[in-house]
Amino acid sequence: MREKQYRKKWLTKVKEAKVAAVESAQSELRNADTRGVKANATQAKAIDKARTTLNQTKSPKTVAGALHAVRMATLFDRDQPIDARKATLQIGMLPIGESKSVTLRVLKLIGDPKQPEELRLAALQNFRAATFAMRSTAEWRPTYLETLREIVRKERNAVADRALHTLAQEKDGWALEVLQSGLREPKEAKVSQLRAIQYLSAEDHGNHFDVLRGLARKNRSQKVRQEAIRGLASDPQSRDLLLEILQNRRESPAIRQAALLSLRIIDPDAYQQQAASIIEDEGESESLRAAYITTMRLEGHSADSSYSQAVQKVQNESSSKLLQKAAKLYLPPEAMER
Amino acid sequence: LNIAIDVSGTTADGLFLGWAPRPAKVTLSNIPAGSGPISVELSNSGSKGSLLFTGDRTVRGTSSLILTVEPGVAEGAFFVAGEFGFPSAAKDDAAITASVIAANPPVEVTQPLTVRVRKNANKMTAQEVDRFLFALAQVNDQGRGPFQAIRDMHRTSPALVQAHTSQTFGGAHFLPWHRAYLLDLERHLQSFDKTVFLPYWKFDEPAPGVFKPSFMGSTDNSGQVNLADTNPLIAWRTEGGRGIIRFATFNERTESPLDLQMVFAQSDVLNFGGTGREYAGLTHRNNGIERLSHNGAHGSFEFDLGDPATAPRDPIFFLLHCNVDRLWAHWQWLWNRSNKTGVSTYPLQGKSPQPDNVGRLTLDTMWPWDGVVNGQRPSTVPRAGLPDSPTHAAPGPAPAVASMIDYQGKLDPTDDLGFDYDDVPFWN
Repeated sequence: MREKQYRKKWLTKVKEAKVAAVESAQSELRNADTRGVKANATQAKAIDKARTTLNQTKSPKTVAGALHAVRMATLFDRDQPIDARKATLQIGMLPIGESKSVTLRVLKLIGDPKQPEELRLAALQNFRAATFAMRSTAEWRPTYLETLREIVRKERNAVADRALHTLAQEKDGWALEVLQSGLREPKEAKVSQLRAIQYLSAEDHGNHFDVLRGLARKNRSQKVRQEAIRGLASDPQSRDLLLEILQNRRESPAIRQAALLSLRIIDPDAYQQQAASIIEDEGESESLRAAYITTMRLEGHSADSSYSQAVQKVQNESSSKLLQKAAKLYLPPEAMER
Repeated sequence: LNIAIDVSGTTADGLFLGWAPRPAKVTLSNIPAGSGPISVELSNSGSKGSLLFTGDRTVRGTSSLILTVEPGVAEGAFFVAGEFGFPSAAKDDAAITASVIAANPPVEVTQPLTVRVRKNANKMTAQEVDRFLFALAQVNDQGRGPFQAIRDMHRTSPALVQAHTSQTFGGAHFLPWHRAYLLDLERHLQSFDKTVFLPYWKFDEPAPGVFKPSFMGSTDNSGQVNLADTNPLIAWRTEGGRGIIRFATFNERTESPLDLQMVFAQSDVLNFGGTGREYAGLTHRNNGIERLSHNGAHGSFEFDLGDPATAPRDPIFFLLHCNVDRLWAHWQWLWNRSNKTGVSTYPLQGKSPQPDNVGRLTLDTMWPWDGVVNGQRPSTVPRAGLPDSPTHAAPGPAPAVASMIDYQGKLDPTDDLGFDYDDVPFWN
């Protein structure tokens, strides 16, 4: 499409978007159930005025105050349908993080166990999005953190899970301690082992490698084992364990692949020593062989290296589509052009 | 009679260009004595990527152009650009053929080249995806490669949060800083593979082609990312050797953050800035692109992407930011906002007093590339110096805010940063 036509297309689109924004604001004002603000005569009057003003001005910004009042009324009105309440939390609808009073009220809602869990989760998600990388947080940050801690202390539900994760990302010392304690004493755990490992990984694994090693050795959940093995990638003391898991054919390919990738970081020599034999071994898992070829590709071996020859052999002899693909990527015809 | 083509920016690895016109010339040699003016026809002769030729870079080119070469000069200058909408799919699939009209025997030469632009990640070919992932995994190098500094430029340790975010977020500088940041990464990628470009995740549309095991990975509510055994990202690691942990709150196959009303649609973003189409409106702290597009895109995920300190741990982060930059580029094109000295293009003109140098005014250089740590800046620099390019001198190792504005060199060709977006043209 020529540039002029393309420009015309986009000018039409943005014009339509502008009209749609006005119509959306009109609809929001027209359909809003304002019972929640009727006690506030000034706000109610502003809303009534805005309903007519918007038709004349064609700019939703001119009725921002009224829209704000409508949204706040809807969000905090327990009689409103949950979807209507959640809609007020959508990005850009309320000045969360900017207005101290709005921010504190939303935090109160997040921390209120009597509010619907679905609404609290939406509020927390949107709160985090709205305040992403926000600088001026001193007015509400202490309340924010304490609200989340209180949820974790008192509740066992999805909101508490999300709150603990948020605190871990905030590198809250209390939350990190709760997570570590939960891993050591599962009966006291606030979240699942999988979640605890993941949340703790927001920080370096620090002083719980012993727990991770235990989980990597044995756990009913493959995902927990995988996550624990990944977490051991910064623990040189786990080298032998990782090698043992990698070499154990009774382990699943996914578990062995996790061990392979962690071993590659801790002990590149040990990882490489296994490479050619596993890649060439037709009795080995295809998945593991393919993963090995993929990671060896990143090492950048010359065409005459033993690894490259092993991959070449796979390409020549294997009937596996997966291995053929891995080998083809390792040995691309245009490789020398790069 | 012999003929040669010389396009500015040609390297040993070939020639790569986007939509921005590049100066070029044809040179004739062994011109028979007594010859009059010689007509040379330039034509587009590639198999996929398409080119336009023009004598004036401000005027849209055409697919063929006739140059008149005076024997005494023996050269004919022109500009060549990729034709909007027709980028390359593979290296050297575009070509210029220059032929001397009515020469007998025929005298012609063909110069292959690549029209390289940043593309919608959801529409990339399997080969483009693999090359990108392979280069990205090499930059990452298990968290130890050049990626380490790139990650640290964006992380906000509690001690640095105030100073760091003042350099990167929360104002007009948010867009130019991140444009330089992406260019930094893209140039690292291209140091491994010149054909690679940084793709963008268009987060107001479903992108099933992105969230699949052979690209950025698919997720379930476990937080673990499912990657194909042949995907180089299986080796992706960051701090402590950890891999990617991600959970999308939207359906990766059928939805986008727009379906959750977490971001504004592109046509709404292009309306930002009011009737005056002011940059100040585009980047307004409450109702601008940072909050209404960028923040919500991050907030559509649990785990790493939801926090600025951890977001670069997930490679989709770079595709997300590339889309934010593309939205700015599209806004600039639609409303003619390339003039770096115009307040509608960028309102904070001038230079801030030393030693603050907050990196917000047009003439301020930016942290960390300029290496300056005094004043309001973080006390450390992960790495100084923006990587150079074999084809483009701009923006230099210590880019100023202004150097990020006219990224195509529309008004000043020396400002061309060497990248384009597949859906943002050069000409109007």
